[in-house]
Amino acid sequence: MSAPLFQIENLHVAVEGKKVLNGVNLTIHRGEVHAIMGRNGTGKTTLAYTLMGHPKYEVLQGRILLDGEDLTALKPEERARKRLFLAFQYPVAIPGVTVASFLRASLKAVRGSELEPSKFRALIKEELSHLGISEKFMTRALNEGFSGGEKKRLETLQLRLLQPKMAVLDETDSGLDIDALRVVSENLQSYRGSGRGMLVITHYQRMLNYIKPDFVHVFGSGRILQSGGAELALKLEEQGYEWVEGA
Amino acid sequence: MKEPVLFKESEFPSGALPTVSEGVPAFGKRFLFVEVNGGGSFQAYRFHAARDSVLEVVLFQDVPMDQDVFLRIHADAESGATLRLTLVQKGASRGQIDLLASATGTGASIEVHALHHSKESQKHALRADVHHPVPGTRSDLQVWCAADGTSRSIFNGLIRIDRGASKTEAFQKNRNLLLSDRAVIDSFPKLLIANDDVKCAHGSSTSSLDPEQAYYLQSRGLSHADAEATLTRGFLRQALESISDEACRGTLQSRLGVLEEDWI
Repeated sequence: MSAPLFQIENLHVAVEGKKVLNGVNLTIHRGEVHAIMGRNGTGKTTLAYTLMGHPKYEVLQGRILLDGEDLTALKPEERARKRLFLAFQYPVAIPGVTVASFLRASLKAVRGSELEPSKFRALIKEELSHLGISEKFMTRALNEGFSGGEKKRLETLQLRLLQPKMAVLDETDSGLDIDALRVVSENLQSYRGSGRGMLVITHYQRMLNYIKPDFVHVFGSGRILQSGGAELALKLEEQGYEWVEGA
Repeated sequence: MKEPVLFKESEFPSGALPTVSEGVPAFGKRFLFVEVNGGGSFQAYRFHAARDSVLEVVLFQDVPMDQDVFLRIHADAESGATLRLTLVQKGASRGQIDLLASATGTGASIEVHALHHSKESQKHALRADVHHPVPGTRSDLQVWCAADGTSRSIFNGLIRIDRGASKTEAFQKNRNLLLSDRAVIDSFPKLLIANDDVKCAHGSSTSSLDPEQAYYLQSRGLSHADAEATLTRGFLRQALESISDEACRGTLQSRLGVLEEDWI
């Protein structure tokens, strides 16, 4: 088997002095989609934020590796430039900064060079059409007054634009109606590729109907309690989490 | 608490200040850009919106950094008129605007957007007195202050609603951004209401740049310094968004260093 794309090794994390993650281990190979499912408050979002280098989350022990390179001490922007991406559950609003200028700056920062304006516009327009987003979106302030669906569509657009090797999706299905869930999920599914990895954090099976995971992990008490194939998500949907936590 | 002032009475010249008067006739519509980059330390302006007219004034204070400037503005809107003022202070060592605005006729509306962009050791102040003497008028005062270096920014806002001014709607909001540990921002939002049948709100918030916003931008590849610069530009741009004249808005954005490339 080829070398792993992404590895989380014995990750222990504290937030403001409180231990939240207690030894997370996970290996993702190229082309694989892994899903993490779990109750509220079990540390799933802490894991997502830690992977993307949030300064509030203190790594007490363990490592995060992308293509064999240790990212654990890197700043968020350095991880982004290594092509790690986090789709936020609650993307923040940034008044006064238009979506277009933000995307232009982000693309330049991650790629290391600026696209010609005409190529940038063509690229964005194509992605907007895939996601069913109006071009007027580009002149609005980033996430300000956006509906849940609009925010998640924009997160998905960013993922497709920045072309990460490894994408972490933190409850991208929350706040979406049925149609938006389908559009977002189909766009994420089409991004799936042989050289890329994806970690889907979710409460529900519904998104996994579109993005079929290769592996499903049950998260509880800040670590992975059980792992299995896609059928594990269906079992969780039917039986809840108690049988795992009680095992 | 004693409210701070930049200019003491003893500094003012004796006699009336030379006054520039501008206005719009009844049912008219006018846009006016006033740049203050010299012309003496003490200046006065009068802006008048006659009945059922629309007057929009953008005043940009950009005097050299080694000079002081005090601007007194009298503004009034007659019945049915809309008066929009955007007041931007960027220059001067000490820059103060005293605004006395009055909605003198029923249906009059006064909208004020003000911005201080204070750097180094600059001192900027806005004293705004928005007066509602008659029933059925409206005002909206929105003030943004961003202070860096060892600068100081002062907002002293008063909404006055007279006893007979029922059905008044008056709002006042002051947003402050501290960009340095050594900068100081003073905020005094006040209401003086003598009538029960009115709708009023006022508020003030002061904070540093939001670390969650910075983290979001960093997660998209921007360095911490670029993220902070982006957030600061966003803050400043908000104060200019209400300017209806695109060319003027673009000029001000450029002069403040917050211009973004057009999408189209």
